[in-house]
Amino acid sequence: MRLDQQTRDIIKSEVTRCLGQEAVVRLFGSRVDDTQRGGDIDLLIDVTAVIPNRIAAECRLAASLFIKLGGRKVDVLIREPGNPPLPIHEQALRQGIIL
Amino acid sequence: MKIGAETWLVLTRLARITERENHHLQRTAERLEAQAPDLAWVSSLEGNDERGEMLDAFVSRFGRLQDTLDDKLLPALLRATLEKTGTQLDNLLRAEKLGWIESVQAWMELRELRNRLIHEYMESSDDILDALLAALRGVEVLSKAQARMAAYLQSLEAMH
Repeated sequence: MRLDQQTRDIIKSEVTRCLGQEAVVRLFGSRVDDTQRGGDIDLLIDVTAVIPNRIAAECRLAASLFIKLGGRKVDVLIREPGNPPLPIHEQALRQGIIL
Repeated sequence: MKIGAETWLVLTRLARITERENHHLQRTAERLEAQAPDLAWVSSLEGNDERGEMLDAFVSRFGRLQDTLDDKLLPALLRATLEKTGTQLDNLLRAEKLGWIESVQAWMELRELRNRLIHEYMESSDDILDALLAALRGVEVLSKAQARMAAYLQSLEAMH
């Protein structure tokens, strides 16, 4: 995983603030590949309850992480319980690392 | 403050472009709002070229205005006023301080929304509808930023 401890801590505390303590954050995409360089930070977040407007929550979190991480690009996907997994979720679950 | 002729040319050209882009965005946003998009409307996009094209026009005009404002006009305005320009985040934070944009947070949320509407990773009509309605509400944020930057440029011209 190519993400330093400070970045991981910021991500986790921001996710907790926005989505609660129960939310599980997975890093996936190019940042889990140690042979690559740079790249966006892709996150899949599992929440325990359905969110009224998931898209808005994803955009809000991506925007606040962009600011908190000094302008680094973060892609956020939120997975709610009971929804059928999308192909991108399956990929994230397969290769993702829980933060 | 001395602003060179070359810089004025660039600034006034960008001001004209963003004004036009804003006008075009308003037009499609109004057309789209008049359709009162709901789930049935979004579900019909696949088979309805006119609606699909209306959505595409809205999304691309939305993105174009936001891009020209924050990639071009904002750094040019900051440079003209001898402000340091930096990363996209630095410039946006400066714009927030100067009152040109409401907040960096709201600005970046709109950028995210736009990305979601462009890339088709939204497989459900619910998601597309949520993103579309939020983007329609966000049009005002872009228009205000355009108006404020244009007003600032006019105040520079008056001083010049």
